[in-house]
Amino acid sequence: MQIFPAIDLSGGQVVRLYQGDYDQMTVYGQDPCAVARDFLAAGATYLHVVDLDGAKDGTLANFDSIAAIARQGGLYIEVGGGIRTEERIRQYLDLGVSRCILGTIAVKDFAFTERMARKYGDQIAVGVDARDGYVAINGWKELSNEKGVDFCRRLYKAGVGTVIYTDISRDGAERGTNLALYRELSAIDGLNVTASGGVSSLDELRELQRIGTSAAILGKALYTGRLDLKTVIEEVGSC
Amino acid sequence: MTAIVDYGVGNLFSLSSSLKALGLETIITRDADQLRAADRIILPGVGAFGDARAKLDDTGLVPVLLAESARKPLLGICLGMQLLFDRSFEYGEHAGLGLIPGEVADLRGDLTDPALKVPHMGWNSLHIVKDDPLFKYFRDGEYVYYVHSFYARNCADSTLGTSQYGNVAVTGAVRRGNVWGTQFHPEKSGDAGLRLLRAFAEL
Repeated sequence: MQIFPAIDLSGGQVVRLYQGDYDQMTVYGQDPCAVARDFLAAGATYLHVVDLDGAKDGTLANFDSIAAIARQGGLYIEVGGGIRTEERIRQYLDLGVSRCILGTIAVKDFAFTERMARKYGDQIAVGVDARDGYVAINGWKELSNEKGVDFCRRLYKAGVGTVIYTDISRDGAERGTNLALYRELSAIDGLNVTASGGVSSLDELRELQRIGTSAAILGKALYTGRLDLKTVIEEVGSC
Repeated sequence: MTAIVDYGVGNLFSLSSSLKALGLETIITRDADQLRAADRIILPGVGAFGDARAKLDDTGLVPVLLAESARKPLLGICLGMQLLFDRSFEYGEHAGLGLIPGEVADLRGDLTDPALKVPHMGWNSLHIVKDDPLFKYFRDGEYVYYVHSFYARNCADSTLGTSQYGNVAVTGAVRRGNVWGTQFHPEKSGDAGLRLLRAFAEL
């Protein structure tokens, strides 16, 4: 399985939110590059970066931090948060970012998403955030009326090869991930599913690997020390 | 005595447990003298190629491995196998140990069927293309366990076995002289994997 340690950025700092709530933010570091280097030293191949400020208002507040991480090299980097135009996709790809994650825009403008997926191939992924099985939009505050699983099927038909599926109710809560959900998603032929949200034990990661989940994002569990990245990669990492 | 190279990469526990289950004397070491004294060497590894190469360099064991591989059997497993090749294109270009001609490339670049997932994870049948003492207790077509996104290619002369994944014949097992490698994890491949390790221990 591909293991993506996560760096969520706000104001240039490394932070974690609790269930997507900007009012429940914990700062874990001032230097994103140093955090990325630590991940690299633990054996990471992949890195998941979220621009929380960009997700909120579409600005590029953390662009310099992301550029600096990309410049360090050595990691496959995917970036999400506020990517709503092709121009922004190009800006990130030009930095050396490997993959851009479309979020809310994928729900709001499916035609754009399909066009980008066809044009950029596996340099585009879609982040599907869902609560109670339904797709959430606008910073997780609203629910759409489409089931997350159906949306993923539709995305795959539109040329999206990778979906990062976050179960909001589990995110940042370290209560364990939603295995039944990922079993259903991973059964979709051809779609690479990244599990995100609440992954907090090696047993869960082993089970995710067993059911064919392509990747997992680790956030809070790494920052609180509940999971050790090096151990995780040794146990379930791919090469 | 089988020496497992400890360079800070890979789960050495499951591997050493497998060897012990076979009743084999095993040592996990980063000591050059112990590698020189061993009857055979296993180079394990998971994770990123560049990081693993850097860590292996840090141990100072590369010259020892290169020298010993001319004298005794060496087996690379998973990333340990990838390290045996000339180079890898895993997010950049990294030099391998150059013990087996060939290169390591992204599976996604060569798969034509978009319905196939990467990483290539799970059980797949190993098709023997060249008989070898490594397969002394292994039957053609037995299933082995893979977890990888990169694979070795342009190494037909050294390939012992392949597993088909869509249009790609994934290099599963290789050999050149005293140097063997498996992309799959024999220590996670059940009884078939144990039999393969037994054969290696008898080399």
